[in-house]
Amino acid sequence: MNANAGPSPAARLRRPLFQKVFAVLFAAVVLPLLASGASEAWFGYLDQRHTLDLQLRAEADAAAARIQEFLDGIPSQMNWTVQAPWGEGLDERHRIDMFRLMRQTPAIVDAVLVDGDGRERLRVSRTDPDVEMSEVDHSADPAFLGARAQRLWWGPVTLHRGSEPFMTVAVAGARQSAGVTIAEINLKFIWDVISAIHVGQTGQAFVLDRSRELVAHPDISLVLRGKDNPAAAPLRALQVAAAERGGGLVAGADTEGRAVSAAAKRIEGPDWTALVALPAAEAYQPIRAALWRTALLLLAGVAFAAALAYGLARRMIGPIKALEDGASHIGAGEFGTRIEMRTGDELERLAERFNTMAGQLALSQERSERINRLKRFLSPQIAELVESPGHERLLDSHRAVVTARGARDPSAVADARPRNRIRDRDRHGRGDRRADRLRGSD
Amino acid sequence: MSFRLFFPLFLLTGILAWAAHAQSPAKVYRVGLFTCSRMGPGLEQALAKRGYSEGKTIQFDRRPTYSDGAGLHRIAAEMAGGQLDLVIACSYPAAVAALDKAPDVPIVVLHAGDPVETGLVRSVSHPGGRITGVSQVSTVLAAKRLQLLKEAAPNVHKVAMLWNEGDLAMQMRCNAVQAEAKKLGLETELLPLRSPESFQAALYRMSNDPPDAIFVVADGLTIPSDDLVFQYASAHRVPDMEEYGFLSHLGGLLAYGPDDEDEIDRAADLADRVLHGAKAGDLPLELPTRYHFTVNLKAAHERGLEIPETVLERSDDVIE
Repeated sequence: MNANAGPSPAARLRRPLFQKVFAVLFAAVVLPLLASGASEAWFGYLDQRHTLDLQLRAEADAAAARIQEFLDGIPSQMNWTVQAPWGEGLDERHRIDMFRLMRQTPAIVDAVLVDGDGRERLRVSRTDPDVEMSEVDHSADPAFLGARAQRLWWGPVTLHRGSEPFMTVAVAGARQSAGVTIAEINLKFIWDVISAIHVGQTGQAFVLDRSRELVAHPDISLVLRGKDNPAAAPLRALQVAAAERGGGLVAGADTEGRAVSAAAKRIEGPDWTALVALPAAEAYQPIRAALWRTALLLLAGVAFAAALAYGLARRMIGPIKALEDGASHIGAGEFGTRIEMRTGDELERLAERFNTMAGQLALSQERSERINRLKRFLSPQIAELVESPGHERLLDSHRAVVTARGARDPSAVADARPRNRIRDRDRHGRGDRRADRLRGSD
Repeated sequence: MSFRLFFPLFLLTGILAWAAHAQSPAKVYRVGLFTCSRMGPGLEQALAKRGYSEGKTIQFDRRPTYSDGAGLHRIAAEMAGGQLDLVIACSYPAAVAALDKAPDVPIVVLHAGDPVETGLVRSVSHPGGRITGVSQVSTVLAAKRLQLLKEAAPNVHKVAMLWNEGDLAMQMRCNAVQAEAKKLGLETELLPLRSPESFQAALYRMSNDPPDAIFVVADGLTIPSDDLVFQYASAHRVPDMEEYGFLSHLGGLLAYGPDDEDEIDRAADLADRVLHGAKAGDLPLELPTRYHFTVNLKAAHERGLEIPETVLERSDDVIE
């Protein structure tokens, strides 16, 4: 320890011990905390994703089932009109069946009864006058042929006046003579179904057809914009992505540009896709809440660790500072300084050593002062001899001689003054060397 | 930064994390409303259902839909002085007046015929400009209505037409009925109306030369005076065809047309979206989805008319 160190030696230290101790203690507490926080966050995220996947798949299945149910209701009503075989002309039963169909199924815009040969017998519409026995040939109509082949035929989605989505459905009777009923349905009615489907709090369900056109969406305006609708592009992207992943969880955006997680389910009959999308903000809300909790706990842990490390480092550095201060004082010649320390550890022992050392130094200083005082009256060799411990006998025998010589020649005593030291040393060379030897043995 | 400040800064950061957000005050929307006459407060109710509270979040400047052309322009100009967020126009002339006198204010139309046919908007899917709304398909429905009328009263030959001549949309509807009547072999007697007072003249003409049936083109002018038509029809035992189900409930014999509650609800939805910042011209027009055929058997009984079973079979609503 440099006795000439200034009043605040810490300021000049390149890497003070306090910082090192603080850093080590802090890191020892914080690193495990961070590691556990990070792993919790990661596994929490994986769990959340899995739960979300299951949830959205279930929601997509439910949405598809509800739309399927809505669609299936239409041909099941239409089936009543293909029960009776056609005779000549238009019979009352077919007419009444048709009126009932129109009344029961508001989604049907118009319906055509076609006999077994594909000739139109009756057309009933909500907007146009009814047409009876027009005999228009439907035998090459894909709807007629499709229904003939599979009993039930779903047509493509078309746009009425470039806006409203319409679709043709055809149902054939069990017997060929019962003919086929071809109905045009207004898909705007699906809006009632789709807007009643709630996905979480802010999620939505929507439907795209096989040519990736929007068929149903809670925002009816999106559907009514028809083709060239850029707003529907992100929904198409979701449909494509979901199809690639077998309906599973996909990420994308909704029409408002919000990030969403989505799942899809195919609707069998018309080959549509029902999609459900949940904004990521809501989808990952639980994990985000958990992350916030973890972050807060981490913050508290870090603050606690910092406080702990700070306190411990101070307690450790305090005694070292005390030792340093004590050493500084001793170095400055204050040998009376004593370092008080009751830490009960190695530092306390070190402090005791310091105190002992200071005591020794104080003794040594005292003796050297006494020698100097004696040197004013005695020759240096003698003064040192007088003060040298372990030469009492020698001193006793010489004391008498010195006293006797002093009495005869007082100048001999005066010669013992320090300014005559060099000459004295020359004169008493042997004694001087001996005194040096003695001093060296101290 | 002093190293000893490191620890207190932790606490400070934590405290700063709790930042509060100030709430912006709720906006009060100002809506100019050309009211839908006897249809009642449906539109206001439909808006209330969407969270608007009159006096708190929405204020209506209510004006009658019917007035002569110059009157509507004056009213629209007065309305526009009140810093409107939206005009809801329940007729074609009201929409035109708002377009003319309330620049930059978006408009939602209903009961204004087919806005594509009248040229108010470009197309159903992309209206453009600052108008959207609910389109009526009444010109298309003309033939259907006449057919139903003829089915209910097979002996009908001459049909008296009552319509608001001053409304382009109603004129177009009347023209469509005329054209379809010709196809069905019916004769039409035209009784154009210009003001509520002109009803008396029309009724007088009908009394002198009674028609077999009456066809009323419904709008802000004819609906309030329909009672006169019902009284005449009862007295002269003639059937009448109305365009809205609720008119049948008020005394009309037959009514075929779009579900008016549905129309009003859709209009309220569009109004809501425009108030929330959607551009009116970007919102596609909505066409009617539900149609109702209403038969008033009570009126039929009063007038001594027999309604065929096939007509009752296809009616959605029978008043007994």
